[in-house]
Amino acid sequence: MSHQSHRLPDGGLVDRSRVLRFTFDGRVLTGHPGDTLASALLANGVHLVGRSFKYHRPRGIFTAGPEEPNALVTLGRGEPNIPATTIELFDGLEARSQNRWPSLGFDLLAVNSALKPFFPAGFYYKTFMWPRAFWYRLYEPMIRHAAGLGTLVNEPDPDRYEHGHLHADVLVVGAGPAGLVAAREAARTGARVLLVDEQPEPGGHLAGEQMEIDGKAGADWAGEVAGELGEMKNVRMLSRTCIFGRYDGLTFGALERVGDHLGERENLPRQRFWTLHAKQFICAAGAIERPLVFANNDRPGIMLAGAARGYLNRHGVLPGREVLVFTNNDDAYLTARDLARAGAAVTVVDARENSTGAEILPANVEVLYGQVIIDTGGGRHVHSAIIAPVDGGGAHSGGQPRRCDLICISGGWNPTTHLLSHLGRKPAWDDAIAAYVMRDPGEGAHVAGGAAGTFDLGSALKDAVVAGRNAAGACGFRAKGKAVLPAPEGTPVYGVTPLWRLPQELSSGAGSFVDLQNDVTVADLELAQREGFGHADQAKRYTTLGMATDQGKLSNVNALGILAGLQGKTLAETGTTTFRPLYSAVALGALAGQNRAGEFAPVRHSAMQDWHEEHGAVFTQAGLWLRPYYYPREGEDFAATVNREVTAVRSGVGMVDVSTLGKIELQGPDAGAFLDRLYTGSFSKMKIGRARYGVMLREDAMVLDDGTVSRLAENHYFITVTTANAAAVMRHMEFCHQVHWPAMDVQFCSVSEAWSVMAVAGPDSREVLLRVVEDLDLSNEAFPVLSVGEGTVGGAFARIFRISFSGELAYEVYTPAGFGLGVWEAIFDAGRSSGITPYGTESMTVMRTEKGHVAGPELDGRTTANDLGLGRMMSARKDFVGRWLAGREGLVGADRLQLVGLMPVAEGGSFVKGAHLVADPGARGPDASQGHVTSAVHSPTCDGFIALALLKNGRARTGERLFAVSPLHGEQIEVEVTDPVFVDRQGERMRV
Amino acid sequence: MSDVMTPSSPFDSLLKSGVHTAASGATGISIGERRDVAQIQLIARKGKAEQAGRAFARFLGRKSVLAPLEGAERNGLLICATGPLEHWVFAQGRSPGEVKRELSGIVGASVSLFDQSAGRSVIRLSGAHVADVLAKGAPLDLQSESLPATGASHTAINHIPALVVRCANPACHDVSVPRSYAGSFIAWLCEAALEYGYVIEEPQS
Repeated sequence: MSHQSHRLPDGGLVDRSRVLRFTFDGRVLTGHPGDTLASALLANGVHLVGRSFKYHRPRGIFTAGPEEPNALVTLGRGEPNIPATTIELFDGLEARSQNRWPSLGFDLLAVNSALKPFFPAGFYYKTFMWPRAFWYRLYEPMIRHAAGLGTLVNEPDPDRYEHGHLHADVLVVGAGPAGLVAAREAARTGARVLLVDEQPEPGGHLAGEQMEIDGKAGADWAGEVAGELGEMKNVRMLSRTCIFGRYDGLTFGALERVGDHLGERENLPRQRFWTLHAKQFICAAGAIERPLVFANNDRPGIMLAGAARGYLNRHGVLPGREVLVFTNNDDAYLTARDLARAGAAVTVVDARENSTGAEILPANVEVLYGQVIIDTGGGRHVHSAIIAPVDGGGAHSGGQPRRCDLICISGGWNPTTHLLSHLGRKPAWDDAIAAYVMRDPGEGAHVAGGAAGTFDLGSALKDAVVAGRNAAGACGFRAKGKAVLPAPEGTPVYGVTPLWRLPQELSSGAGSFVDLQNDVTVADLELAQREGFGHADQAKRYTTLGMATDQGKLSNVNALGILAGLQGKTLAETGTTTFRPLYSAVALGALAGQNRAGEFAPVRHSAMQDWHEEHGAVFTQAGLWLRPYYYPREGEDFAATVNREVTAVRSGVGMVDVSTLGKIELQGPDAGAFLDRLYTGSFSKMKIGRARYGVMLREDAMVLDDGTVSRLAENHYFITVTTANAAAVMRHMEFCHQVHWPAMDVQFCSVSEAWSVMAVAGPDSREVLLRVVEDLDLSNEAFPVLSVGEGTVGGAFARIFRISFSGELAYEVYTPAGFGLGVWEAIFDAGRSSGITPYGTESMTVMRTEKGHVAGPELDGRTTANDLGLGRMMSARKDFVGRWLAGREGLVGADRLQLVGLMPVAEGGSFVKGAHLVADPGARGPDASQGHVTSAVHSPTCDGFIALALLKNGRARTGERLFAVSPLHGEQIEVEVTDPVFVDRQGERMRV
Repeated sequence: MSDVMTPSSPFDSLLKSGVHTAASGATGISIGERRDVAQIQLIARKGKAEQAGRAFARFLGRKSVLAPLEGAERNGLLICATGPLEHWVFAQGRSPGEVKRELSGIVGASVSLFDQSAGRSVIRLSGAHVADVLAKGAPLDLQSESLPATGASHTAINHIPALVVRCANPACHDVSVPRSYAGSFIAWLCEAALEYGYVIEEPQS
């Protein structure tokens, strides 16, 4: 059990009355509720927490937020790269360090650090070029093994994730003091406010400060304001939620850590991915502190000044007792003051010549003006620093070592403008605060507080009031009365003198880290500049600066400052890199939400699904539908089952569930004329009670879909379309109606769900139906092919079509979906004595192939009606979609691929779908192909394999012999070109 | 064949009455199927949308026509404007044919009527956390008056097409889903409601 050596006896917001146990690299440690993993590690005196990406240098906790570049750990069962600074401690938490072998303390790959001169930016592009084949086989695997951040596990994510949507008038990002005040002002007008913050409690940096507002401790004041907001019905607050991206307009992506902080989540998801929709948006996301760049600035024990202050004031942890505070601005003086008050020996090293910040320091704090830290000493923990004076010209005059166990650094503050910039808007450089600021946040956006570059709290709160009122006002809500401004305690006036890097002679540059996460040094940037990659975006890619989980939050502006210096430009001229989502890492599981594994997409079932399952159907997917593929009996394999099913239909009777067909109902006086324009055939003069086969073309004359059109009444039509194309056809119809022919008085909608449909097919089908269908004469005379009539089955309404897909005498029985199962069972029961056989989609495929009916494989978007032998269905007496383009030269040439049948020359031969048709089986290359096999099945009726194919000038080549070759499968077979109709070419069987 | 068969519901095997509490022991939402709900989709004829809207307004005793997302109820007919040219009518316990005849009497030939009753099932969700649960799947703004009481909106819930109706009781919504999606909808719903706990009630006819 650990002793929390660096925990103060009091202070901070942790609950010392409860002890939480956790492990880090197997070592049992303790912390308290209110701790993060980082603060608990620091409380236990653990500073070495990871190894760097490339050089495997020892690294410690550097920040207190999501921008953490070093302290990335692997949690629990194996989720890597989680910043320890964002992990709320819970009892039983298990964390492991990363990027080390065999241990964190002794990492063999630390040898990389000694070899650093040989590993500059982009070294692998230059070094591992020969022999070429080694790149994929040796070099890249080797580099990937040595580098990388953490390791993924090859197991399903055991956690549960959700998606959600929220709407608001005003979205406030950040519940720091500015965000709280802006939200309160907006909410007081009556606007619906959504306040989102990534911390567990509101208040932002206030919890990490010794600061009062309205005479109360900052955290208490924040709690009171949050409580007030919580009482307002028009306010919703999301804590532990990071907005990671802004998308079109005012839509945002956010990640809520719902259960990450809980050991046992019960019924809660781990995380929730929110899509947020707002009318106005206030960015009060605060600011991020910049590091300073000097030699060996990456040792454990070196951290940002604001972070050290936060650990002290929020968590009651004193991260060091002999402290150097190295700064170029006044904010770090607060850190010096607070650490000194907590008992640390503090020395301020200020690169500037003077500062008003010193006024707040206790007397025992020494301030070294005009001096800088030029190097540090230590291994797994910093133990000393070299401090050197800087004169006005930037030259140094020697350096003195000084002992320390903590170096707090502050290079100034960068407003967090990411969400304001994600849509392409760029911030501008502001010399007054030495930072990029978004002065014009754009339509619908407002900015307040540190995010606006306002680092004086009093001014930030004033801005927040204005932002809150303006945002609400833009939504139509007016503020009443005068705003009451909170009165914060005075803080030092923020002043900063930029310091991008120490003068060249003070630091070698090789060990001066600009980007700690990617091990990018000043020397790397100098190399990028020398090699012509000095533009900010190019240098980023050349060096990898600003990539990975921290996305350059700490490094980008320093790098821009260094590059600007190398190029003799100002930062205003240099500009920033492009801001893009995601602001912080998001687990892939959260992006997927509930849509994973079996729930990846919705599954559709017909009303007869339970029956199919009870009767042993094997299912296949058709779009979102689950359809019976075949119904094997005990001991039957796939081929035997399909042969049995097909034979049963051809010789007796079978039934198949075709409820998945797309069904569209049309009404209105122009319904017939509309269909005439939509299909190649004519329907406006079709008699009521009749059906007809129809082909629909795209505007480019390629076949879009085929199906049936039936006329139910004078102005009432019903069409069916293929299962897979149902939505596409509906879209096409809407487009044609709304864009091409808006004047037509026709109304239509999908009724696919309303009807269950079953096809009853085979020579005995009429006999079976006669046993159950009432109120409709099914005799051949009264109800010939392509008739439509209405009757009942078991008292349930049934609309019956005499339509055949199998080529046999067949009927399609439509009934309201609620009766689907009952009608199916009634017909099946009626057919038992006739041996009625349920059949699946594979048997349908076999029978339609035997009949030469085209389906999905032939309707591949490249075939015309003429290619498919359906040219006779293109009316020459009317206009229709695709008619004129169908006459293009390229679509009527003799070398078009045309539908043909194929049979193997040798008895017992089989086909491979997709095989190419060639004259010479040895020929290779695309020019050799004269066509391809589209559908290939074993036909029990033909007692062998048959196929449909698309063949150049195919209809004129009946009897010709070719080879069907599939190099992919290593198969070839000699075939004979035939008519595509293999069974009942005259179509007599369906007419009996 | 003289006995008239009973229509089946896709929820018959999916919704079993019972209580599934949250970790706290609470149940934040009740789930129940409404059966025998006639659902008629009405699409205005060319140039007749205003005429249809006025006819409905007269029937409903309103001065103004229903705007999209608005709805109103009279004599057991819940009439919802679901688009510029579209209305959707719900009537529980009445046959679709009867409802179509009554609607024809109200709006005459200004609309075309499509019977969607058999193709869609209605699930009633009630309780304090209905909006929270629906927000996990639907991009609709259900937390405000954007969708007023008795109003309806087409949407997609976790990629499943749905028509969401806000009941007169603010803590109650009806969701009309195509019956083929019933299994996926219930799977989603029960997982989404897990956090708050839920009760599955007997179907209401």
